[in-house]
Amino acid sequence: MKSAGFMARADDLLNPIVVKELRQAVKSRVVMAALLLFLFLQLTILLVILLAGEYRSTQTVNLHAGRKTFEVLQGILLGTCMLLIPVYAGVRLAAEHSDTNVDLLFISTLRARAIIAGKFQASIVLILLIFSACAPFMTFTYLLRGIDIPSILMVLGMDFLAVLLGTQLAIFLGTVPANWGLKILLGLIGLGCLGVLFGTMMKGSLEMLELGLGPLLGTLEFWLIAGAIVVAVVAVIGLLFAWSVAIVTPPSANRALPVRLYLLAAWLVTGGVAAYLTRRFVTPIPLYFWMDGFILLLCVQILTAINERDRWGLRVTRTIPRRWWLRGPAFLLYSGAAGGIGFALLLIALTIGPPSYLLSLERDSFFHLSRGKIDVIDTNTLVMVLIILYTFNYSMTAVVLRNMLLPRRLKSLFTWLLALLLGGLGCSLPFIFLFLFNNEGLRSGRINPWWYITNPAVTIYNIVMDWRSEVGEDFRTGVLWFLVVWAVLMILLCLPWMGRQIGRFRPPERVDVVD
Amino acid sequence: MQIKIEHLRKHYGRTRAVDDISFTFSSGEIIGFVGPNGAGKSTAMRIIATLDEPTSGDVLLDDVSVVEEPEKGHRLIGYVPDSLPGHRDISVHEYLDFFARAYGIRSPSRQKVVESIEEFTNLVGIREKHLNALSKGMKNRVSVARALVHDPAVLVMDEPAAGLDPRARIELRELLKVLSGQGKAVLISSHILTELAEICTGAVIVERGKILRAGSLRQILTSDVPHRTVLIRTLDEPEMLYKHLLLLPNVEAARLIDHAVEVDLMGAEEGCCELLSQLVRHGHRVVEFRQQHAGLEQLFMNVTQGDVQ
Repeated sequence: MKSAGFMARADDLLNPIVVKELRQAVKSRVVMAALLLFLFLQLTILLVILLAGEYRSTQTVNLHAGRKTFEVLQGILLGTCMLLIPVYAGVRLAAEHSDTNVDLLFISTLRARAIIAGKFQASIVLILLIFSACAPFMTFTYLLRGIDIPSILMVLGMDFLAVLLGTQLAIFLGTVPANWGLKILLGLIGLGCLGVLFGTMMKGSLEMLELGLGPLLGTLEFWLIAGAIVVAVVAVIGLLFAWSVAIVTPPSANRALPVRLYLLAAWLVTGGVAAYLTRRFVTPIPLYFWMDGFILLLCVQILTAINERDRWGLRVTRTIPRRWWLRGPAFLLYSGAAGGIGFALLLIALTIGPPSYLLSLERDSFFHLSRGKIDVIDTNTLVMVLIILYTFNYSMTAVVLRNMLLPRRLKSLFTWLLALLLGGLGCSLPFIFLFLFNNEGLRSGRINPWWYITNPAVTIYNIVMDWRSEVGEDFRTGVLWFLVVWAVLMILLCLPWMGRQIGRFRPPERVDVVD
Repeated sequence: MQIKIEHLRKHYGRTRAVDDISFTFSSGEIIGFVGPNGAGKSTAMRIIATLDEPTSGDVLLDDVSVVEEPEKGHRLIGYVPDSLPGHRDISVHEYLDFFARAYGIRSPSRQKVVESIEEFTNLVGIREKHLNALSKGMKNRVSVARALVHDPAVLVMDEPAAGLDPRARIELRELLKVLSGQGKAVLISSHILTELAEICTGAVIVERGKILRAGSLRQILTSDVPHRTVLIRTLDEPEMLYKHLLLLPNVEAARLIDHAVEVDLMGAEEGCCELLSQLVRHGHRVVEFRQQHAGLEQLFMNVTQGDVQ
């Protein structure tokens, strides 16, 4: 009786989506067929390798048979998991959350967080199912020599983490509200990302197995680096999760708040880890990795923020703090375009400013960096600044154009498309002008780099290539001035729009009831 | 509970799918939402069910705005779409159990709720069947069951009778009467107007996103009608009455039907009183004097143009 009550309570704790999706998966012919095919493939490959090895080496013993077999099996495992699970999760969610056909589960009392968590958890169970089917075969390769158990477990752990990342990415892309054309485009982008992830994982794990993980596993350094990578990947998974939840949450809600709080927390935690590793290994590389990663994320934040609302409904205004000193931080954290842009810029300044200053102070005394390494670091910092300025300028230009020319025709939700279109124009127009007016120069390759000023990729490339020359120094100073002037101009043009948002960001008037 | 639809608008580019729709209904009422194809009924119903967002306007369930706080609306509204979304590899019972879980109904009451809903909607015999294997009528029944799982105060039903056989339609009609009797407010769209007229307490007629008529069924069937038809029977020969009626100024037309006369009268309802008093004054021994209302179907044909956007 007691156990029945416990089981019922445990059953209640399960996410309904996990229960439903697993019931469907168990009955699904596609999932079962894929699983059986997967087992059959592994068994066949193992048999073929064993029989071929037996046939070939009657005299000598192949000391790498285990590793080679493991590599093949890992390719099958990763390929299956990276393709089947994320696509299964992403496509189903995309079908359920298209702009024309929203599944009825989205109008149940399930919270957005529970929906996304349910989708993710259901995928994790499927991943574990496939991993459990594969683990015995992969562990068996230990008996064939050339690989040790810790290496097998380590690679399996990495694979698991990578598949989780791929699955959460697919879930995120599945939630993006879009028509079928855009969904297919997002699907292709997602497949591209999964392909890159698969390639990186395969290459990385093969190299690790080649070098041998065994001796490294006993060192603290290895575990510190592995831990930092795990923290970074988990942070990215968390961010994708937070974005997905925000998209599924009703627009009237304060849906940016959890995302920005998460971003802030991730910034602090990963920044702390990067600073610790920098100190520990006496190299600025971890901190620069962290800076680069976060700056790219914050550029995405700018591109996201421009699509947000510029006025708030009653639901949000009711939660705006009445105290003015709390209202400032709330403005940056709450849903809203100007607040979102301000939040991104503030975090960008904090990401680049203090760490760069502290690192520059200790270049010689602590890190003992050579001239070449200092150049690389300076180039990296400038490239990051240029990426920020280009992203900011194109995004704000899109806002200005939307507000001035297309106030009723373009929904604020699609400002990112306009920004990307402007970016695309900025990239292609120089080539079109050169083709029309300076075809000779285009053919010879002798073009004044100023022609490409609106093209971020070519301009950054030119700056990096001419880093040490005097002409290059003039050019990069000029580019910086150009971008700063453009940014200031956009800020000035957007000031009234931002000012109106600051003005509107107030709690509702108190109504005093008099008897 | 009072459901207030306030200046609801939904624009897709230049197309105004829903154009300033406002009406109110309450618990226990069944409101027929009527209009030609493309009139904006489904869009308005999807907005009420929180599946779509309006361009402007609001839907209030008592004080709860479903636009501002859709999560609160989810608990109060049960939505029956025009077709059940496709779900592979799941049985009727599992589907209902999933939604019971999704609405936070905990065991052991969840099992009871699902079973009672299955019984109420007559799904017991097919509870183990897969959704994909069901007929259109069965799917509709599952859809109604799903909408009732969390015992909502408001039911929004988009063409629930479409594609149903006569028996299923009658069952649905009886089901709606029971639900209305339980105090649920029902908004139902259908093209089968004769059936709607039998169960609805009110109707909203829309075309091109705009409301043409709205109110209680009696109100909209009697008001704003160009002429009224009255059936009169006397103890005397009907021919005498017929000839007399043709002489009266308000009478548009008169027809002899069996032993009675059917008269088309111009103007408002006061004209009927006037006619009756005139007939009595002239010595006609009136034993039956009955105003015949135009049906919903007739009214629909009169007020709509059949335009689509």
